[in-house]
Amino acid sequence: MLFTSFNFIILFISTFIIYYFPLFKRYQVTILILSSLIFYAFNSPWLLVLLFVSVLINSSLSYYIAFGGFKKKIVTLGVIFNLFILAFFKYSSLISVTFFNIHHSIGNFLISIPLPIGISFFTFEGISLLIDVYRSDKLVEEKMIVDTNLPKHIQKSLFFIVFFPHLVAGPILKANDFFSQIQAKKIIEVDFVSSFRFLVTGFFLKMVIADNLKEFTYWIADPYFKTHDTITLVSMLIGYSCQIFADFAGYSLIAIGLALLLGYKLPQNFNFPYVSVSFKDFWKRWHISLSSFLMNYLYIPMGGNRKGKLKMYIYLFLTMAIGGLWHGAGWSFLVWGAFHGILLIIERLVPKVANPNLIYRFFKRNLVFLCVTLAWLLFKLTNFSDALSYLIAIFTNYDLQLNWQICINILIYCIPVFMYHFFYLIKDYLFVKNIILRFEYVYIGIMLFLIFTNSGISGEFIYFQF
Amino acid sequence: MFYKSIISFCLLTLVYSYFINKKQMLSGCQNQNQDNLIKAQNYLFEQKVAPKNVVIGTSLSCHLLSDSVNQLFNLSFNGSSIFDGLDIVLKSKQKPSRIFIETNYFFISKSELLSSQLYSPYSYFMAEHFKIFRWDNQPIGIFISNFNQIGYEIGQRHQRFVEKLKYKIGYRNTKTSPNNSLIFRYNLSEQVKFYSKFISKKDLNNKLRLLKFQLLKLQHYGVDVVFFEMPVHSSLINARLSLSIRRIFKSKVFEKYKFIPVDTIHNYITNDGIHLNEKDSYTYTNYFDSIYLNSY
Repeated sequence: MLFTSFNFIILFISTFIIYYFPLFKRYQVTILILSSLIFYAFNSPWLLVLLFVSVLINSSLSYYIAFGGFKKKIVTLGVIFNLFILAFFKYSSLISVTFFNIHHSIGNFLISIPLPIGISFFTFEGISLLIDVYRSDKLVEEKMIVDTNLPKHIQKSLFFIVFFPHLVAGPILKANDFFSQIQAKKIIEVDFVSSFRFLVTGFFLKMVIADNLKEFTYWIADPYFKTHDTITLVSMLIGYSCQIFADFAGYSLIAIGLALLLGYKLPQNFNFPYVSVSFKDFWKRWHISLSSFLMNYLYIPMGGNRKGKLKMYIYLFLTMAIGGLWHGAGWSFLVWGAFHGILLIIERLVPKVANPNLIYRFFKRNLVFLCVTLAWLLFKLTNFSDALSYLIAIFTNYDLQLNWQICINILIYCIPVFMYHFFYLIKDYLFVKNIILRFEYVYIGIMLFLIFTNSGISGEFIYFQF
Repeated sequence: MFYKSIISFCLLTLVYSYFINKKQMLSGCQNQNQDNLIKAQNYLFEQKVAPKNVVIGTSLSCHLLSDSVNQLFNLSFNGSSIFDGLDIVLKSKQKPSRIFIETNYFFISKSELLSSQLYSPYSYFMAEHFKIFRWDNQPIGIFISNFNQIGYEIGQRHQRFVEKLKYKIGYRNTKTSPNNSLIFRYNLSEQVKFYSKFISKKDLNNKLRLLKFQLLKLQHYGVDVVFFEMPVHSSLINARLSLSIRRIFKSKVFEKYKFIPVDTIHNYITNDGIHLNEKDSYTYTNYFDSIYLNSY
């Protein structure tokens, strides 16, 4: 079910009413679990089987990690189980295409395995549950996550994994942060204003910006891009960069807003990533929940920066490459991650400027945006030769006719994304504080107006495929 | 903040609604999918009296220029099937007197995208009762439409500037043809491959069953049905697929329906093997009009 669909609006409103109804106060968690399961399995109920298996195994193992022996062995077994599930369902087609002939029976079997929606997210949350319980040294902290009653712990774990605002496309939650929030909620405690702000901004980014841009970036496809001129090709690439941001950041903001209405605080997933002055800064602002997951559960356990510079670069590269592969079952995603890994290493090798001035920061911001935008091409054109042809076309198609219609549409729908980032940069100036931010309600009103009158044709969220 | 935002939203909506109802604005169409939705909403909500004649087809029939033919509404959709158009006609309150159905791609399934966007309960209700919620009246779309003319001129100037620059630096264009021919060759070869295949019997029977069912409904409403075939590239006219489709529509099941004969006089030029170019769109529209005026 999509957040932007009519079915979801009906489901959410009915859940909200029942959830805060005094008579059902004791069953709040059960209500949210049920409505999350409806949300997840609305079109394909068979998806529930894998979800239940994953939850059951992760919750049972985490229980035994907390109260039983062989903690290290059990946690290792659990992580392997999660990675196996992820590899089997997500990467089987990649293995099939890479290692088997089209007519090979194993290859055919592997390619026929369906990809359950949100698998990358719920397996990572399963891993987080196991590791967080394992790492909790203090009994108090442990008790917060793991209930002494096994069925209760299973119920809480199920809720942690299936809670619908984050189930299919994040933010990726950490067990530590979420379990402590599971308690009875009251409607008077809900921060309606913040939730309203998150929801309007999220729906605006998704429905007005991303869904409209999608119609123009559609032409970044082989062989259609070959007929466009340099300016149009560059515009489409910038448009895709804004689309992917608006799509994913929009989804995250909607998720945060919805969770807030139900009394839960989800972590911030995007922090104005296109204002980044370095690649390190970019990864602290883009898909923050994934970056911190990879940092805490992969980069630091591998050795981080504790084992010398050379090893640090290797770990960094590996973390980014694995992070890239997490996004999709294709070698292009691995290369995308590796490309970011290389950029991070180069950045660390180049000496830092002590007191960067405004021009230098402006230059760095543009450089980071340019490289990140260029790398998004591998998300859109997953075939290397197509991506390369696109880059070549940018340099060779300068003498073709400019497609004004595509350029102007992309430009207009990108303006709000750039303004969104620009306002963040100037937010501390007195003029902005006194005048621009005082009229926030006007911007919210305009966004609301455009959501109702200028939404694009609703499409799936890009990150659903991951 | 919450109430002030809602008031701002209401004010904007009221002002915009006033402009939409009072002023004749340009169409807010921005892309192909939106164009389909605008066409469908115009048919459902803008027609006070049902048009006498309606063309139903795929993107091929979109090249039939209905504005140059009297009392003809073209309800053909890009990237969709004839069943989308039939559905809309059957769901609309008033029915036309005659329907022209394209046969070329009758076996294509209904577009989920079109029907989900069009018939979503909330948006259908809002679009039916309030003009500002229709796809044609999107504010940014209308704003961009006004820019398009300026944009076209800028495009022309940019082209002239590039040509001038190339002349100055002594650059000679080595490309013998525009890159568009690459798309043409690619598309035509794809179509040749497609037209050389047979459609699976199961798929074909399902679509035929559905078509017969829709035809019975139309018959019930007293709508006259006429079939026609859009011209395609010469290499596809007698391809395996074209011949088998013609055979189906010549079978007993369809013998009670009228057909506009295939135009064998003109040699039509297409953009990609199946879609007529601008000039030949006029040629075929004239042919269609002459047959339709003379015989039906």
